[in-house]
Amino acid sequence: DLVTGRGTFGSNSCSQTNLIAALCIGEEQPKNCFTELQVLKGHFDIVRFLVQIDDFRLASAGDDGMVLVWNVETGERLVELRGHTQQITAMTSYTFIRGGKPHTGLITASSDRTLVMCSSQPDTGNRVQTVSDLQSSARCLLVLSGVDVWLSGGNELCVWSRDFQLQCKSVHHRDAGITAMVELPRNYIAAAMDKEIVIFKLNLSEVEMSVLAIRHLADHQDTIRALISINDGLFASGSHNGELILWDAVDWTIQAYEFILWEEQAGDAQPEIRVGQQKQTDMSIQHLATDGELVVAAVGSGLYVYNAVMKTVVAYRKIAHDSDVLHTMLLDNGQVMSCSEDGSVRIWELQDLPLPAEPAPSGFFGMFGTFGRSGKQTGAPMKKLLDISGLRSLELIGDLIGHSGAVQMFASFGEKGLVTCSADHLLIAWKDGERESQLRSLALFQKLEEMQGL
Amino acid sequence: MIGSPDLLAFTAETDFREPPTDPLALPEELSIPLCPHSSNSSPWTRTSRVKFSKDFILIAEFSEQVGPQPLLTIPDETKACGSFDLNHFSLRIMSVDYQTSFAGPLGSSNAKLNFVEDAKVVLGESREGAYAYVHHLTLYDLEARGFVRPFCMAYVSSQEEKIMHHFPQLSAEFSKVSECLKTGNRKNFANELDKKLGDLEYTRLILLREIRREQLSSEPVSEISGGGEEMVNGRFAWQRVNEDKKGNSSLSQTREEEKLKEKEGCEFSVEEVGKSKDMSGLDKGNESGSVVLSTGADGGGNNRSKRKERFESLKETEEGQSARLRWPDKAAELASVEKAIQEHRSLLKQVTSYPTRKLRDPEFLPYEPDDAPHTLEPDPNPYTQHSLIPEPGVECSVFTHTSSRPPQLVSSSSCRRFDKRLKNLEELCDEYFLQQALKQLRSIEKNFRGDSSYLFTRQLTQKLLQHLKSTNFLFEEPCDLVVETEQQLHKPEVRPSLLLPVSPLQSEPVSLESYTSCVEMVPIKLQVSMNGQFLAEPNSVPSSPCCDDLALVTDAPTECDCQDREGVPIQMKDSISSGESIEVLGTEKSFRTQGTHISIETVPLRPLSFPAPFLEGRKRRVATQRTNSEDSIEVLSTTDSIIPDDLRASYPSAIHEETSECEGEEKDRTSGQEDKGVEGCRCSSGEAAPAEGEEKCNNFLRTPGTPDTPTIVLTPPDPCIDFALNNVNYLDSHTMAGPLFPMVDAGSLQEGPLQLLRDDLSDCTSYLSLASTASEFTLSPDLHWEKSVGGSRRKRARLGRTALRFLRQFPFAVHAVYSLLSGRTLVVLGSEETVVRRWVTALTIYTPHVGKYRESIQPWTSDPLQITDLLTWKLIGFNRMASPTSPGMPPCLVRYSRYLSVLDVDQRTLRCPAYRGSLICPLVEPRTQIVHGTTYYLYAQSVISKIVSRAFLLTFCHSLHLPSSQSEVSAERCYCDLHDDDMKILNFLSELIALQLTDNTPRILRFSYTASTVFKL
Repeated sequence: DLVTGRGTFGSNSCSQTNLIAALCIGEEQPKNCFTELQVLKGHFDIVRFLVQIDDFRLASAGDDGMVLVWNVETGERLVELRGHTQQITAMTSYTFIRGGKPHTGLITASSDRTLVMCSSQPDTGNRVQTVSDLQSSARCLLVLSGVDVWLSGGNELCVWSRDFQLQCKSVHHRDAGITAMVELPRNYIAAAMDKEIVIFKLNLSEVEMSVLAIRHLADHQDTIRALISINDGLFASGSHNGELILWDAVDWTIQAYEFILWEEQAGDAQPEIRVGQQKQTDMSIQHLATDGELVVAAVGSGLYVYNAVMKTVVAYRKIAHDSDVLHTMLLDNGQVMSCSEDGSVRIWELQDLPLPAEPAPSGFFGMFGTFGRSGKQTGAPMKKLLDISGLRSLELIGDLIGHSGAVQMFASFGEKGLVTCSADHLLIAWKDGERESQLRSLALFQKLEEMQGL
Repeated sequence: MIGSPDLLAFTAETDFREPPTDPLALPEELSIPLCPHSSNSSPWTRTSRVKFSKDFILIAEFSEQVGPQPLLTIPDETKACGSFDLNHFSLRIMSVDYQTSFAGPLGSSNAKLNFVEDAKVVLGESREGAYAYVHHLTLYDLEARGFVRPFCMAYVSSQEEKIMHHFPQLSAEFSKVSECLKTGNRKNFANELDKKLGDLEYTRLILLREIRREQLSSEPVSEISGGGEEMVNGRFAWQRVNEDKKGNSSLSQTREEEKLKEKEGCEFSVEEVGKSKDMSGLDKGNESGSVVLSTGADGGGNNRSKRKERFESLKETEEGQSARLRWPDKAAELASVEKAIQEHRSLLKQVTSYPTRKLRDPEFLPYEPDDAPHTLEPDPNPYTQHSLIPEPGVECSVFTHTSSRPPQLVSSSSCRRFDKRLKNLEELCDEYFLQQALKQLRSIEKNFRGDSSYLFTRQLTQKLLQHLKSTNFLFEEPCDLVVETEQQLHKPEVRPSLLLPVSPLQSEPVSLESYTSCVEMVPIKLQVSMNGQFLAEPNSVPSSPCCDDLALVTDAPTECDCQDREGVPIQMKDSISSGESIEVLGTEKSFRTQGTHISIETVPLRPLSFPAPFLEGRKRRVATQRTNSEDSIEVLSTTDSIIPDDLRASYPSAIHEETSECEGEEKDRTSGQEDKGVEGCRCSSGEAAPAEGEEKCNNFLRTPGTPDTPTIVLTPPDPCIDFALNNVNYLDSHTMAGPLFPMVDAGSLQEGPLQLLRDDLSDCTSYLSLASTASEFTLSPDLHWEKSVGGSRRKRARLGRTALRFLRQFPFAVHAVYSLLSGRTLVVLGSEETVVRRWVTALTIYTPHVGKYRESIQPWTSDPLQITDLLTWKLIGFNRMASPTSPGMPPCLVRYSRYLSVLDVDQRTLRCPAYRGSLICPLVEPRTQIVHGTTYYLYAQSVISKIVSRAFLLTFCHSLHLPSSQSEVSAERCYCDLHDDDMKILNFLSELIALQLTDNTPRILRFSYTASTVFKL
């Protein structure tokens, strides 16, 4: 039965203190290298999407219908594009080779049922191509760089050529739209439509390109919120009620099933009973991120790290934020970053737990008791954690506070910093102050050299 | 008996030394002049036996009726002068009259105005211990002898050095005042002339009619028309014009028609006069507070009809008037009246074309109300300011009883009445300009208040700070960064848009219409501009409503006019000795012909402290002036006023011969150095060649300024008091070594940072020396400029006092200071605005200026803080009541608590990272030792300066920024002994310096993740 989780966990006596200590990290954050911030102003409404164009440029888009391209190093605004009249629903970058040189364009979809592709190079004159007679507004975009086409998913799946010509499209679904798409091997595409995952086959061999739904995977009990491709052999989907399913990318079979359920009272009642009592979003998988091996799921206001290769839970934390986590990311150095509606960005580190406590009685997955959604860590009940080898803890090593609204998304530029976007219309570039200081110092010396002294 | 006042030699012993060639010496601009006081004396004010308590400004007049008399003092007599005998003193300063008094026309009956340059003299009254900078100027008065009234403004001080050292500044400031007064005077004088002309024209009209009536009575009626024709031919120009305008030949008019015409003409002329009197009427009305502004057509119409009525009645009384006034010889009377008209017209032309000529001069700076910064302060008497000024562009007619003043008959015999009461200053000078001048004088008094050593150090500070462009933005008050005179550079010059108005009187025939309209031609600057933007300047709106017409009614001088004027010898008379104290000023001619040994130096046309562009301009002007004035007496010192070349040329009678008396005096003193004075003048900008300088030096040495021998101060050749940025090296003047400025060992300053660290605290100069100078960075021009230095001094004292109070009240003050100096925003949280503001003020001293001046300080706010606020504000006063729901800490402060230090003044707690270093401890230690606010302010500045100097060094330490290179170990060593907290301070300041130097100021917020500590009282 798929309802049962793989493991059951007991409590660990130290986890409560861990939790509280971790969330009240305080102001001493030696591992947090972001010691400088720069505010990027320009949007007039919620900024929802960030797309990294290259190693120093970033595009941001949001409900004001504007796309702004920024230089992350200087904070300079490079391009301002106003192609849409309504909020932007999806944005992706599209790199293609033209004239021997790689060009990067930006494709945006908006609620005004238009698609816009524009060049992000400020020097090429902002060529903008627009398609405005869509049947439905696109909610997701996917670039298949291997075959040089890109797809837009709304109530139907459309396939577009590089030159913005509609190649083919699927049947129109009146009631459900595609919310997410991933590319699968052999020109297959998995698209999330409500509770189903639909596998489309893109047929390129014939004269006319065609796209056809060939399989419906109806294993989720609730609406699918997130769909990612983990590696060549696996993709994962997460649903509103906390189901995380790993699929085989080739034959579309279920490789793993996790039902993430933050249990109200550990070890007691059946989770099914509790589901109705809990707020749905507590278990809703808002976002999935992966580095090819580990999958991070934003589950309600908590985080869940799963090893897709070993098919084991690596770490989890029910209360990672005071509010829903909206975006997560696995950094190169093994850190996990998450942002939330509470306006904060938190940086986590996977640490080995200290000595495991005694095994707890079996129970369903889920460990923490009722916490107020406000996240007050007061009066937390006893928790149980079953000792499982390899289970690690997610330790908070830093947080970034600056936004006054929900942090929608972030994009990392490695050592150059991190850019967050938020409902407060701002973008903030977080940087390593030491590094920036050295760069400025170098710039000063360079200038002195040019000027031959002060 | 009136003793001769002491004229003081304006000398310095070591002016023109060779500059030192020591390669290790400080750069010129950073060297410090040693105390210029004579050796072994205290630089501070010695108690003297003067009877006045503080320096004051005296305006005195040489009245042609009662002789020298004091008019007013600033501050009030009762406040400043004590028992000092002003009468006696004005007698003394006015007894040396350097002005050309009107010597009577030579060879021409035409009256002419003397456009005399101001004279500037330093006088000493050794018996009283009073010294004065005396600025002589003349104002025009139609009723005065030679139309001139000699005045002087004197800055009276008990300190001779003070006046000597600030001669250039005093001279510049007083010249401005003088220019202001003279502008206002020209305006009133033109009005007066115009009034007089109206009277004269009217008289002539009456006379003509009388004559005609006599002729008519003796001739048959049939010849009326013929006689009329003759009469018309002899009519005034204005009447002809009037007739032509009506398209009526009118050569054969009946007598009645002519009468009507006359009436119209008369009315017309008077109407014009009335119009022109609007200005004067305004002034007078303002004095009495009874200005009636009527701007509608109704008002005008009413007035017109009223005037007509009045003229009808006038007409009726005419007969009686003319009957009453019996001229013995009507023809002679007519001739004399016509001559008077010509004279007055020429006078009017001269006075009205004066600004025009000046405008044509590229160097001319029209009078600018120098009060732009003052407008920030509330005007104590706004009524006088604004009621004076009609809205520009609005046709504004002011009708008072004066505006329709009926013309009066003048008799030639009553033209000069010397028993008449002379006009006072208020009548001589336009109200607005007089107020401006007085305002400026008050500002002068304020700026030069205080001990000369204080002024001297202030100037030194300003001068030196100006060179520290890479660091001076951090903590210095902007007013210290801008040398006063340089302030003017920031105001782009604005010329009145009405350029080149030339008197219409040049074209004959002169109509009454034209001359009345030219009365309104006193151009007044309409706008001042700041920061390149034109701002409406309410105070400078002219009171003439039709100044826009100027360009229309005037035209350029004709070619032949100019040619006529060329080659006419020019003479400007400067000085006339008076009484026993005959002080002869050197003339150029005398230098030429006989040479002179007198210690005369020409004053540079501008004080040396004027920046280069000014100097260049002035120099050019000097040159042109010289070519013009081959034979003229060298001007003692010139103000901004310009010799009206064309005027002099067109009125040859204006040329005076040098009086032989003067020459005789000079012969005694001449030696073979005739040209030196001239040369010196040419090099008046302080770039005198060394050889010349030496000779000048010799000159000075030969004529020591002993009180008993009258020596004349003509010029400030002393570069020692030149606080301008250029040219002079002070280190050389070891003779000026005084206790205040110990000789700086220049070599030691170059040894490097290691030594600097061990410099004692007082040596704030060491960092000055190390800061380099010629950065590209320039101060933003819109720095808030606080003109009132006196105010800034008081402000400093207040700042220091509150800071001291803060230190005493909060034992944990050092942590708050640390927060500010390390770039962490400090929030002063409280519920009472005054308390919060007070502590914000106290902490201002320690707040580095990020971005523009004072931008980083937000003294009181209730709005929730945003992250963007934290990028700019470094010191915030926050209203606790802004969020009444959370009585503890407002949520926004809690949210951003990691970026903030919070000083809760209600609960007397401070929450911030604890400071464990030692660098800034000196800032808070003196809470017990130092009593005075000013002392603490200066002390704190010196401590901060030292910190800044280290930050500056840090900025340029390669090794610290590039960890890979290990070459400069010494620099690293010099910083490694510092505590981390101290490094944080230096890093923050260094970061600010780097950002400033690269001109690249992205708004960033540096912060660190450090735990805060709560300090509680």
